[in-house]
Amino acid sequence: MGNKQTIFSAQQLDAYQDCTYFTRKEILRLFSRYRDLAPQLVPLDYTHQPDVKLPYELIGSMPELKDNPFRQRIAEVFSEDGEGNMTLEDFLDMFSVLSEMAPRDLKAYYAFKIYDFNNDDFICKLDLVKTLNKLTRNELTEDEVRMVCEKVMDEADMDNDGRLSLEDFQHVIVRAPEFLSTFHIRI
Amino acid sequence: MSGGSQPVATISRTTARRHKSVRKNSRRIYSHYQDQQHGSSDDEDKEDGRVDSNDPEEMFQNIQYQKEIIANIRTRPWPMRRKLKVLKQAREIVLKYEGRLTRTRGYQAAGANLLKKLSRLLYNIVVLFIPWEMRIKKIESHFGSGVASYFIFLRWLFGINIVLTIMTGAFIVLPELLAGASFGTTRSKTIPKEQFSSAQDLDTIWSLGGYLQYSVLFYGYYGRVRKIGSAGYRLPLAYFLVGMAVFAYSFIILLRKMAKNSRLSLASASDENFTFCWRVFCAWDYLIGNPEAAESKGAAIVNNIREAIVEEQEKKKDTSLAVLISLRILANILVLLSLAGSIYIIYFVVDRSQKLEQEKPELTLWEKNEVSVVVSLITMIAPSAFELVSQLEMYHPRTSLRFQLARVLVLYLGNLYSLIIALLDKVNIMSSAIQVVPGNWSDPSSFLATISQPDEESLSTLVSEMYLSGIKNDSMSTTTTTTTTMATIATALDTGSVFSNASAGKNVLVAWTNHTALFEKNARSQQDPCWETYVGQEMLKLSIIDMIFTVASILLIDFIRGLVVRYLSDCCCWDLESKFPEYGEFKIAENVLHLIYNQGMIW
Repeated sequence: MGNKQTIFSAQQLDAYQDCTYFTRKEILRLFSRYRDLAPQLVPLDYTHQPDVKLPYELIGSMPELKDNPFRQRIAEVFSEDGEGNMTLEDFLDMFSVLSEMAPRDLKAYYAFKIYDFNNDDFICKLDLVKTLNKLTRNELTEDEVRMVCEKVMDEADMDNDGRLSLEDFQHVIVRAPEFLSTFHIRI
Repeated sequence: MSGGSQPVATISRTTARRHKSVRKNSRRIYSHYQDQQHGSSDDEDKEDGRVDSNDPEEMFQNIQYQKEIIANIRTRPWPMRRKLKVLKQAREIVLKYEGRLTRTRGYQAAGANLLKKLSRLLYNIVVLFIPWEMRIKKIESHFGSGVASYFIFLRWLFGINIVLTIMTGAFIVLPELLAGASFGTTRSKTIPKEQFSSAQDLDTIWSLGGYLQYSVLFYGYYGRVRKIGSAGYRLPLAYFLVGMAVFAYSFIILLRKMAKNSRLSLASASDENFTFCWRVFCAWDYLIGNPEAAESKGAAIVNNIREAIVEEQEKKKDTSLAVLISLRILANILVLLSLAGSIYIIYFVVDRSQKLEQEKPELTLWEKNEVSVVVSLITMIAPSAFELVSQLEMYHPRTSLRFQLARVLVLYLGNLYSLIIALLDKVNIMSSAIQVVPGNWSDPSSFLATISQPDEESLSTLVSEMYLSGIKNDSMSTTTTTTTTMATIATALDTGSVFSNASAGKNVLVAWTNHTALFEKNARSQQDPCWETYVGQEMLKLSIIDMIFTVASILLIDFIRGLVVRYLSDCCCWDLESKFPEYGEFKIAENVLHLIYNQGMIW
């Protein structure tokens, strides 16, 4: 492979490899994907750590994300400013967590944050309603939505406080056989 | 990604193992994420403060700590910027202070690294030897971790049985084989002349008579000489001690496992019904990349949820309270009746076989194996019957599962206990009959050849029986394990069970477990009426027949059902796959209970 690339310093690449589940080659490939979104905004030389943020619209238009009903939440969770505008590091982090090498607990944690629309560290009824509507693209009737949310609370809420904490959520998700395979983006 | 996927895979495997060791820390960190987020700046200050101490020991510890942080930074749910900052600091600390360590510390650090590498290598090698690891991983990815846990439990039981085999084999069978009197010398070891001609018939072998009866398999083979061989190995003592050791070992290992599990498990049943949660949170496939797939997936999810809602509504239909209670009482009465019925049937069958033996000299195949077949049939059919009955009760699925398990457990225990009692009764009658007719050797040998009762004996009752009942016989009590003869029979029975199916794995594993079960039958054989062989033969028979039934039931019920559903659903008017008869479901809890039942038989 050789060390011919000039985008990152060796130290930076090492640091990225330590902090994500990607190898050197993958990181470089991800960088080129990032740059392709906005070649005029992203410099080719990252050794001086330029402060470049891509707006959410560009991220949300990526082919891997554009059909995902939760893409806005995903971008918000992984971005530094919480608005969906991502730096390269956020970008790498996002795809690292969603890759198949990330462990189940890490994914469950981020899934919880994605479904927590109001960012209060609990999935309350309102969050559930929003999740369900995004998931079904508003095709369910209000009655059905209400019933489903009640059932979800009934099944998962262990401490009976009317909302799901991280522990409740993890308890449910860790037992789901298909969670690892569905919560996975390949890039 | 294809080129880098291989090293990534290996990296991820090793890192995954490292992660396992600090999983506790990660979990704590996840749940305290909020505190950490606010305290992040304090955290970093604290780190700096800690390092400034000049104590070499503390420095060393700190360096190790930083290295640990570097190794696990990936698993932290922190934003990237924070991860990078922490990483940079940790690296700086390591670089800066590693030079300050004295030479010995340096060697110690290098040694610790080497040790870590070695232990990781060793762990990788050891994992290779864990049987069926790859297969269980595959099952896990296809069917979920619940099903895989059944197989992990099976593998653990298998391990226990192997250890027990080795213990009994090494201490009892081997000395007997090497140093004991050889075949044909003492009376307890020769086949009586009447049986000699039929000793090699398949019939005799099936009922474990003939050569098998007078082999190391069974009790009566062992002489009662106090010491055998040139070194004076006390065989009777060894037998007794090994029996005790077997129990002690099983007990200790069970306790240890229970303690370990109680720490890990949360306070809820293992078979929880999270259908709605899963359908909401795990439904969307994040890999979908084009709009048509997204649309169809969306529609599928909507349908899925609607179906679940309809199911739920049907469950919630208001039946009046009085009707509900009376239905539940009815269900309970039915269950109790069937339990009592099964116990009575077993007792009756054992009794009947005894009477048959006394009347007729030669029994048919059915009559010989009657009791085992009846017991196995009951264990096979009753749980399904209970399930049907429980539909009357209309409980929450979680509660109904608990009821079901309790009933099945009572059924199994009841069966086994009634078997013991019936058999002990029979033995008592036999022994009193024998003492009445002391010199009649030819008669007992005939009914020995027609043993047809499955039985379960616990070692302690046998040993105590031996000492208390004072039965007059030549042979000593020893437990035996099988030799290659049993292995060949077992493989002959097993050839029909090799086929490829999702449940084939289960089947093969079950067959294997039963092999080791066969390896551990307590048996007593008797030249003179030795009830110990009898009992042992019964147990072996029960094991074998239970195994056959399990194999048959898998083949017929699940496999053929699967074939029928898959290939005939096109020609049939309703969708075979989702309504009756759908694919057989792998009922984890019941299968686990069945495993425990088998293990009980072994013990």
